[in-house]
Amino acid sequence: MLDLKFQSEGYNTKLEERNYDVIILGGGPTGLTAGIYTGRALLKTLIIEENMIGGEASSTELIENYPGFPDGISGMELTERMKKQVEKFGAKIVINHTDKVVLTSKIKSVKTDSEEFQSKAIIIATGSSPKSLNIPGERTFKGRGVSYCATCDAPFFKSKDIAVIGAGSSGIQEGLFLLEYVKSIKFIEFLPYMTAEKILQERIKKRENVEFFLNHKLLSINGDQTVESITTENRGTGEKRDIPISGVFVFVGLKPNTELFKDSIELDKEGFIVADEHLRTSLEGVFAAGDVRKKILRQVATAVGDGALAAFSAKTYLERLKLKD
Amino acid sequence: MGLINSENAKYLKEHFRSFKNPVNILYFNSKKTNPDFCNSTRLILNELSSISPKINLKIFDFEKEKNEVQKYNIMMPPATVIQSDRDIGLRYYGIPSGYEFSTLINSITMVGRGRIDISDEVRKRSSLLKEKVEIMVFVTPSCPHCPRAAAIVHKLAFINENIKGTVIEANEFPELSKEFKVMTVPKTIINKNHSFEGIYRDERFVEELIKGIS
Ligand SMILES: Cc1cc2nc3c(=O)[nH]c(=O)nc-3n(C[C@H](O)[C@H](O)[C@H](O)COP(=O)(O)OP(=O)(O)OC[C@H]3O[C@@H](n4cnc5c(N)ncnc54)[C@H](O)[C@@H]3O)c2cc1C
Repeated sequence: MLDLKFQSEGYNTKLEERNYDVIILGGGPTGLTAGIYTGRALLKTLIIEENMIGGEASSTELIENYPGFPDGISGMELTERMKKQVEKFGAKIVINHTDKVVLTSKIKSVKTDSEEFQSKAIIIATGSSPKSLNIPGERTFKGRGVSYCATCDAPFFKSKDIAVIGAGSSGIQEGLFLLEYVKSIKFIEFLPYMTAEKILQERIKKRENVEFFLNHKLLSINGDQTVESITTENRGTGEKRDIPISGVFVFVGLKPNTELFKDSIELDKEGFIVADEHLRTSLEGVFAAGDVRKKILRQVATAVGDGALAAFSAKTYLERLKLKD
Repeated sequence: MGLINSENAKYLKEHFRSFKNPVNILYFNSKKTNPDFCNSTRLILNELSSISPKINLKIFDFEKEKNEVQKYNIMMPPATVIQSDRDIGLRYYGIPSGYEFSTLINSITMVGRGRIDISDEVRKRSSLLKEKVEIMVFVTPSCPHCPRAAAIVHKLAFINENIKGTVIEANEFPELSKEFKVMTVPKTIINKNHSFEGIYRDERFVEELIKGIS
């Protein structure tokens, strides 16, 4: 059966309304949940997403640890459902790149490539993007064997030997998915142990065509036109090795999407937004939720919790604002 | 139930109602070349056109109707041309499924509404291009970012008659993907020589386009 993904609100939307109670930046699980809550609070809500609704979660083949779906659910389907739910409660969605934000004044403004919107409160839910390795060969071979998206690119590596960098939950989970296509995977992990959920570790260890290089540092990605090998260093012995492979999938953590806010909001040293227990940032009326903020567990389950809380805090803030006026 | 679920069908019916112009979809089908892909594409397009009188579908046989194949410069089936009353250079090769169904709807919407949302700067710069240029973008149905790359390509084709915007589903055309060394999507190729990977915002995309031409 063909799966037809359709975004009912998309690139061609032009909104007449410029002023909102709340603007939510980012349409991943966090932003969508926040929108459900602000929508139900009858706050005029706009969600601005610069890519595709669903965020990082939508490119995950199967999400098994989000409650309510005992057989797991595809990331696409889960976020598509969240999107329908948010639309049901009245939030507007616009797909556009955010150019500029002014957050310091009482009325906040968000400028996209073609429009400008205003609101009294902002929820930042811009999530994070895959981190790069910053090693020789990575940039040269990006798109020539180096990839950051397994669901997008797996078919190009059919029956090939590949390496997955990072043996955290993402790396192992995406590795299990890649095994449906590739011949073998070498997992390269900097730490002396895997950090992935135990259940994922057990599953991957049962597979025959996998090999683990724990406590190994990736030094370079090599090749001519496309990737042909990687060079690793054993951090214990210092031994260097060239491993022939034709693809490298990188899952070494996340970098926050906070470029727009770096001059106005307090960030931690890695660039994640610092928020208090009500998810308030250093700026009045600006809240941060989900993967974009400083926190210790970045998952869909924690993202939706953040979304609900940020919406509640924004609502409380708007009520106080009204009392003052 | 058809391929388009009843909820989406209902939404699309309303959506298409607001169209200013009828949309003509020319679809090049084949029973010999890529028959399975063709069959799926035909089913999707048939269902779409039955949703609204604003969507007209015309099916051509890739093997037999050589005049049309030549006129529209069709490389291979399944191929979908989306146009108003004339060819504006929009091509989609492959099954418009997964996330690529959105690409199809977006392009139909653009033609049906007869307008697009794009910044004045991008509109101005891209409408100035006087030479013929073909932009190809390779996508896969499971790539959530790809519709965005496809959208800009189709928008530019819409703005400027000299620009041809071709979207290709990479999995279904492995030889073409190999020829253009596609190992990640989206991958954009300008005039078959200048290429770049990933999502660029509209302004930067136009810069790359100008670079690719010169
Ligand atoms: C490979 C992988 C596998 C994973 N597997 C699981 C799993 O099995 N279970 C689980 O619970 N979690 C999983 N996660 C984590 C989960 O995907 C994230 O925790 C979750 O998506 C975070 O949601 P978010 O809305 O905070 O951020 P995101 O999902 O990152 O969404 C942020 C959105 O904001 C948009 N955006 C960014 N900047 C702007 C801007 N300036 N303006 C407008 N929009 C902007 C982005 O395009 C994006 O759509 C996985 C993550 C990865 C990478």
